[in-house]
Amino acid sequence: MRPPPDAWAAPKSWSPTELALRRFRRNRRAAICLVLLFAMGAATVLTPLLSPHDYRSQDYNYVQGPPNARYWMGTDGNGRDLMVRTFYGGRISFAVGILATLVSVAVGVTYGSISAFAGGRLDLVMMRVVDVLYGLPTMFIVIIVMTFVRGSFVIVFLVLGLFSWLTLSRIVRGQILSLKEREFVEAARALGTGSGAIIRRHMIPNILGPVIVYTTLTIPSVMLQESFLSFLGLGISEPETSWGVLIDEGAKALNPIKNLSWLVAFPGACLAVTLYCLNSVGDGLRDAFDTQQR
Amino acid sequence: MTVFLVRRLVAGVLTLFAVATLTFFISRFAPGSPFSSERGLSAEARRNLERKYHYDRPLVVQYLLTLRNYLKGELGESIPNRGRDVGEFVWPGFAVSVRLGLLAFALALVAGTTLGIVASARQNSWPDYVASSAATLGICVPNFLLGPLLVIVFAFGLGWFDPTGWPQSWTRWGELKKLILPALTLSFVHVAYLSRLTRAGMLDVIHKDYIRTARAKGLGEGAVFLKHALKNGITPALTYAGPMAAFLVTGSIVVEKVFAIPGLGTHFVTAATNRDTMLVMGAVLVYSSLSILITIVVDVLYGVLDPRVRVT
Repeated sequence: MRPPPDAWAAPKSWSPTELALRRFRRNRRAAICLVLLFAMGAATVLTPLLSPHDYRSQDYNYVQGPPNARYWMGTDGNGRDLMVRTFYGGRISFAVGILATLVSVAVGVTYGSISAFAGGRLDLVMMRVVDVLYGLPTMFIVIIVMTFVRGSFVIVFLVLGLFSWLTLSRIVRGQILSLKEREFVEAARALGTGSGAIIRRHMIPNILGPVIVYTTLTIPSVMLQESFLSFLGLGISEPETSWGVLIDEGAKALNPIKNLSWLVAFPGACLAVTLYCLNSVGDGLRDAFDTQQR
Repeated sequence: MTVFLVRRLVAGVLTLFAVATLTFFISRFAPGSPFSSERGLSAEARRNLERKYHYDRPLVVQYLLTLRNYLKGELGESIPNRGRDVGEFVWPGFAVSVRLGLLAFALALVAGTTLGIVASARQNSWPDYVASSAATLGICVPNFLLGPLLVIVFAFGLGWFDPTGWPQSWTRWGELKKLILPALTLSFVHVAYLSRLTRAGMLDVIHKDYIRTARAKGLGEGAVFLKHALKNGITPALTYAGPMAAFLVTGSIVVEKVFAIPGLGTHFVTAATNRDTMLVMGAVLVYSSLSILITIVVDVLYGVLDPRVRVT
């Protein structure tokens, strides 16, 4: 009897990316955190749209009011609804984190791949430049820039992005250099595959993993830097707001006479949950993609 | 060793030079002038001020003049503070910040490694759980959030500590108590991280052959842990000491702001908000020299501690 025709078909083969995604999905903590992140993201987008309050409008009947039926997270010292402000600020924090990371990925990947493909003297010079930049106390340079070029949203994410591509460029360069020597790339070249096709079919899919992993871990670090700057009064400025600004405002309002802890607690909790989830997802992706470490 | 040290020192000086150059040109190309904040300044007075601070000279001359002053150790005059010397703010503030930093450094090192050793000796005991949840908390609760939270709970809630301030005397407990919350805020993340590193390092070596030999000789667990395992197990934690010192430098800016401590960080933030060019530049140079110096010292110390990484 003949076997059914299906048995002759090749078994479904899994690409490394598919395998990695499967491993990621089995990681319970990372999966829950991803869902939480989407929820937080949705809240930052939807709350300011759906709430009857505006992030700037003041209600003088409820100045520094504790959480109540009208204002679920209370109001700040100017009688503004803290819930809308928290999620509106979260929107900016997220946007800064994502946009700055995109900037750093664009610069880092371009720089690293040019350096790797050029090779020779140009490669040497470009990597020396990275070494020198590594030696600079980055945070202080960022603070200097933010001191003199006052913080609009665009400036903040551009500056943070332009100061966080160094490691990525090294990762990309290293990956490309090692891929260039691998047998399957050599085989492709021997078969007459053009460089464009080699880059598209062999280089990019293999670099994607490390880049994704590094990128997801860059987002929380940039968001942390943004809140740090905003907390110091050098990042996002009024009337715009972000979690760092809100924590700063809350901390300044604290006093021994009146308990105002919600002013710190709500934005702080949002920031903490977001940072925790972003880091968990990043770690999960790293474990899923980095098979050598297992 | 000497060659290594000289090379590192030269690189450090070059980095400082780059920082000074960058800060100078950023401050000069930024929109606005440092004299614009002075209200009601007549055109003539303004011109005089500009002449006094060489703002009327070509940019290159200004740059060289600034560099020459820095080489002489002069940090310049703070314009918003009516021309008072920047050093008057920077050095007293620096002395305060260094004390806070050293305290946090010692606290992190002692508490972190102790917690890590206990956690590795008694896996899945309560110190182990404390250490691991503190490490998780450290990732997601940055110091500028932890500080206000500690103030809410321990200063306003329980009333154990003052919410702000810096000790006026170093002998009375009532004054010294003011150090506890700032030092805790500054070192918390590092305590957590160090304890994780120590635990991992200890667990790594505890299964090595020489530990089995030590046990076979009949040594007690205490001696095995503290004499044989600790020496190698603590290396990963010690390699973190350098980056930690650098983190403490930036962290102290936040902590000084939260607890209103009159350190360099507080002056720095005030100067940044006032656009006090010379004070900002002076503070950045001091901070940068400090972190460069720390990196060099740490690299040298690694060589002393672990002969395998000694660079010739």
